[in-house]
Amino acid sequence: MSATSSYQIYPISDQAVTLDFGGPISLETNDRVYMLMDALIKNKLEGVTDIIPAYNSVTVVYNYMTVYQRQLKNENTIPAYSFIKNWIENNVNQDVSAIDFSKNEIIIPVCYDKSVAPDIESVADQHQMSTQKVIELHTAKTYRVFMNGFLPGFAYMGIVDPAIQTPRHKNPRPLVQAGSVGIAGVQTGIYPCNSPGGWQIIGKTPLALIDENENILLTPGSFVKFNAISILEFEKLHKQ
Amino acid sequence: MSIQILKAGILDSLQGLPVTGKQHQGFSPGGSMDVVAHSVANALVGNKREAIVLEMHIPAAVIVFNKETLFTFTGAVTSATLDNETVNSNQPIIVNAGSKLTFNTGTNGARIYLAVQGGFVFTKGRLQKNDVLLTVQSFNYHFEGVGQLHALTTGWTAQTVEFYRCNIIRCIQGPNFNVLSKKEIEQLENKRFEIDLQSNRMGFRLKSDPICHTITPELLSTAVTRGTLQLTPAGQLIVLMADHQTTGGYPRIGTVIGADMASLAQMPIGSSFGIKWIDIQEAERLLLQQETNLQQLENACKFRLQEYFSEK
Repeated sequence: MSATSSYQIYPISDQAVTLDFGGPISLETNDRVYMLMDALIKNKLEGVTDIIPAYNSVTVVYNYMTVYQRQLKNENTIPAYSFIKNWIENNVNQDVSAIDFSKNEIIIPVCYDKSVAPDIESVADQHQMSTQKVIELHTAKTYRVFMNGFLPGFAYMGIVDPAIQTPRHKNPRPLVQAGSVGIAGVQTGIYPCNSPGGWQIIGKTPLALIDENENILLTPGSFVKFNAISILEFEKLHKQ
Repeated sequence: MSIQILKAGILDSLQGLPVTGKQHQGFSPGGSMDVVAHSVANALVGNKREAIVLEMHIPAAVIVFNKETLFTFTGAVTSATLDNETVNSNQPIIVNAGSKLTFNTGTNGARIYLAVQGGFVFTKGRLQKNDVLLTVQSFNYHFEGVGQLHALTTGWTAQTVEFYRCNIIRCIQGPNFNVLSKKEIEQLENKRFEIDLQSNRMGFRLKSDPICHTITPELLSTAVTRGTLQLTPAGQLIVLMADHQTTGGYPRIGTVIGADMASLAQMPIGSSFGIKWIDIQEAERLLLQQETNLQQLENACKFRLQEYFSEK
């Protein structure tokens, strides 16, 4: 990892700063995101309330008054924004080898039966392959959770095999059911609750992505593999 | 203590301050839309700032107090009817058990905040008719001797006018400000933005002459905040409010400054405003000023309440 890799850093509000590595979705850039996030968590700063990773950026949300009061106490006159910006920049370009990316895989059972996968046949048709081939390619890879967003517990995962990458629907469905597994370009994801949505739905998991205490299953930076199950297994697991 | 919803309003809910710390998992901070009014309401009844308040939209709920207490309301209305008496906003009011509170129709904002001493016990979601809202017991003031005096005010009013502005909302430029054409940047300060009917606690859609943008970049989703101004492909703006998603993929041309979020939250549907760009240093200065004013008001409330109840 080059120490001179470029990035942009800017305020996205008067209490949030984003460091943006730029570029398309890639595992390498996302590694840098989690390296930076890891370093920021280790070198914790009072007043920082959230550190939000995304595909190619990290956003630090802070309480202005807490940072201001700390500055006052330390007789430091630099504005809160500059102080936070410096703190983030001091933590960037850490050595990637220091981070452990060999976390356990989370196995997600997915039923690809067309009764719960309204788009699997059209996805197969678009790529001139059988639905079985779509399932094979979707279950073959281990995916990275690049980030959470959109809904609590919604995981943006990738990278989907180029042979089954499919753009999202032009007009989103008014209702996609909780547990639905979708594809959107290079991304794959699971809807944690019923929601409108535009992703191509190729399967459904019986697992709950979020529990009653608001704990989520797929956290940022984790690794996921899909395991194909039959509709009977799906119904059995779904009832549990 | 508890209150009961006799008649539900269009959207009544219990709200606290925004809850941060789980945005990286996709949880929106939520909380009161107008954090200033939220804080003022709590100060007026001797609560800590973070206590849970009742947020109401217009038309608001009709409520009944099940026990004597101290309450107040602030935000979108200046008066209400407590049984048969008119009571004013921004005043601590001692109320008897069984009293009924109805809000009058004349409004000068979009949201009403009602606080009772102790604060409410939080429950999630939209309140319905007959819901009973419990309060946390944490108040030491004595109400003995209130007798049949309804609507006893402590005789003073908190001044909140300084916290609100209505015509111009100040913003800092966002990371995708450069998608705007030169001409558009020149014209933007003269544009008016109207709060569209399709606006809610997640965000306000703003109606204006379409905003010319030379480039529509394919952006990867990244974090957004309360106040983020997103530019839609149709050239309209959406400003994100309390229940915003944590990430978004539309170009972010700017962000409403923290000090003006309360003003924006009180703008009713159909009202309009202009945008003025300021830099981050000025935004920080205004935020500090607002917080200082708010703390002064909180201290004044504390002092007045102690003074009032020590005489009883």
